[in-house]
Amino acid sequence: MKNVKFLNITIKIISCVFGFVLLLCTNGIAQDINETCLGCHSDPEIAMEKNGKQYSLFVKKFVLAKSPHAKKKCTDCHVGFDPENVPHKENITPVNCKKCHGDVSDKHTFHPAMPRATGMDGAANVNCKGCHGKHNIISPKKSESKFYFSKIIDACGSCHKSQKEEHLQSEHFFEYSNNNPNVPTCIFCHKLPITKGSLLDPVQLKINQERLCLSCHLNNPNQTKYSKSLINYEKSVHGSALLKGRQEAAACIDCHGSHNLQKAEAPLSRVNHFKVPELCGKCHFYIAREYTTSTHGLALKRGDRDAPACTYCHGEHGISPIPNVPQRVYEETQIKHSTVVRNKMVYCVGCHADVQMMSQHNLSTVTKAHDWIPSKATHWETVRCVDCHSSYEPPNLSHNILPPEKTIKKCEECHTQNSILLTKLYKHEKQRSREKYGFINGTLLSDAYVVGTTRNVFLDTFSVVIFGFTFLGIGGHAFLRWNGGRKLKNSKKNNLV
Amino acid sequence: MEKLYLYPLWLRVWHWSNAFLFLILIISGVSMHYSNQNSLFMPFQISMVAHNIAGILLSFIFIYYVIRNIKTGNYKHYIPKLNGFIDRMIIQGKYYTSGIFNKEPHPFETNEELKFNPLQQATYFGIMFFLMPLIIISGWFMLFPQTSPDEILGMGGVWPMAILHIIVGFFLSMFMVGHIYLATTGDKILTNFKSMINGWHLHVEHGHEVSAEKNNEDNNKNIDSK
Repeated sequence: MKNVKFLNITIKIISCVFGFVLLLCTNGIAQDINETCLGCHSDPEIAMEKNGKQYSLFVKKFVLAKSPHAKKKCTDCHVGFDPENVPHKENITPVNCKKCHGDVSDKHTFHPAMPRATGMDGAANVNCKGCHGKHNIISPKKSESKFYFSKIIDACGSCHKSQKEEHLQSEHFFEYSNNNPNVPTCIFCHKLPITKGSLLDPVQLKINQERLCLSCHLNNPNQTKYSKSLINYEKSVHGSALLKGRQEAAACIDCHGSHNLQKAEAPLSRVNHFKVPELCGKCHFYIAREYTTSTHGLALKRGDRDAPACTYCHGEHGISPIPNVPQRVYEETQIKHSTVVRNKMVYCVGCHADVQMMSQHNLSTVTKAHDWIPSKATHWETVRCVDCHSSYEPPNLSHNILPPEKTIKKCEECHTQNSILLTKLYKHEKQRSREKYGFINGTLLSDAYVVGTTRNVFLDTFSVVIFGFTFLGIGGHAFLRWNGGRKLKNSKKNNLV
Repeated sequence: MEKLYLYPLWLRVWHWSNAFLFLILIISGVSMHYSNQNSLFMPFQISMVAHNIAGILLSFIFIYYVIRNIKTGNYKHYIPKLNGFIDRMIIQGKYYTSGIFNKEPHPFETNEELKFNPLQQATYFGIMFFLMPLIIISGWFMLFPQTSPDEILGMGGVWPMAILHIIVGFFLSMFMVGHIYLATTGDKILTNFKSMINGWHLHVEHGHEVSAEKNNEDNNKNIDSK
């Protein structure tokens, strides 16, 4: 038993010594080969001619020494090259980085041509050496690397100039320049399959983009009310449509942009309060057109920050959440929460019940402005704000919210639907008229009329028939009288004759 | 020629006031009822005010008319004598449907005791005692809709009043047209109109008119004998 144990230890020691010796030897061999190669290629004058063009074959020794490939043999990359013979290889083949870096495609999805490239194939700026160089390759983890955190934007921007220009205006760059370690760099985002032109399904591409954004912004410890609503994005009309495969559904970059992301507060931001209608109008063209002519749209155009843009009513990311309206509003207006939510009036009362805001704009609050309406509770239940305050007739919905003086007061729109509603309106109008003009004038000058009550096809037909018969009967009778008189005259004449 | 003062001043004033207001009510009423986007005879707003004012005035003069009728006993002319009434109606009907074309004398000549022929009596009775009160009451209900219930049998409370008002309005308009036409069946076309202006009914005692008086007596005798 002791002998076996001894044998095992002996074998392990011999293996270690052999391995070490082998390492030294191969290193030595590598150094030997590299020395041989550099014997010629360290000469700055060394060059070759191909197709009438001169190519330098000079290799800077000190540059190569800093490379992670410094300990590799030259022939590891330049496969099949024979240092003893010139030319070194009959058919010179390009260096194939994938020979060692097999996962290169997975790491470089931002350059979609890369998966199709074999080694050095593809356009100059998307192959390995186009970005990483040749003998001067440096690990991105080293501060000297052009792909190091603090330099990467310039590195990518050297080719992607317009994207860089946009990025320099972005909130991401602002944080980047403040050395925020959590800010995404080009590679942080683009190492994931989010780039246009990749072979991905366009819907999947958008989902990837959206999830990339959420991966940071949902976990942001300093959340704003906007970022909080991100949790509902996938349940929103946009998010759910996207997940159902609708390519046109808006995802993050459709609204916020990709490289030039800016906070809503920034005047040039695509999601700035004053630019929201224009932004939403890119897809919702007709609605935006209605909105821009509305009293809200015109107020926004005048620069009124209080004027609601699309997102005030529809929400930012959740699209259709219920705005948080203070409880006192419901108490003051006597409108039920369930009613305003069902009728979508919750968006309106949020501002229009605010005494301070309304007084700043010389507007009456929702309660005061509707003092004239009888049976308020019933009206709140059955009539939506837009039914009277927009240019379309109920039940259509319009974004063209009218100014107070143009508000539609078509009570009969609803009250002619049946005779009970009509009676209520008629009674109210008579009473209102008397209150306004006094008893006598109110009675005589009242403009209340039971419109439509007596107007039906039976009564109209009946009236036509009875009047028709009356006039026909009278006409016929008058003719017979005239004819009888004429005959009588004639017979008298004949008798006289 | 005999002149009978059958239509006192108060009656003539009421009659022509009533006719004038009725005309306004018909024109404004038709204008409102058949209104659409465009005005018919007059703008909707004016027709409403005109209808209100004319309706109220007509109600007041109707009350005046009722009171004077009771005081003067004129109402008796409107109440038909039931005995032989149907036969008298038939005789009058025959006159209007055949005799009038041959210039036959009126079967029931107008006199102080009998101002209206049987058909006039039946029509005026229905109109003055039923249709006029109905249209006036329903009109006032619409002027003061608070007096109506909100709902009757699942319908708005004002609705039955409005329907009643307009149907009675149709009949009264029809009556007015017929009334004006029959007013031309006097001795001359304008005779009855003149009577209603000056109050004097002309009783012509020659030709047809003499025989008419005789005819009147014969008709009454025939009916009595039945």
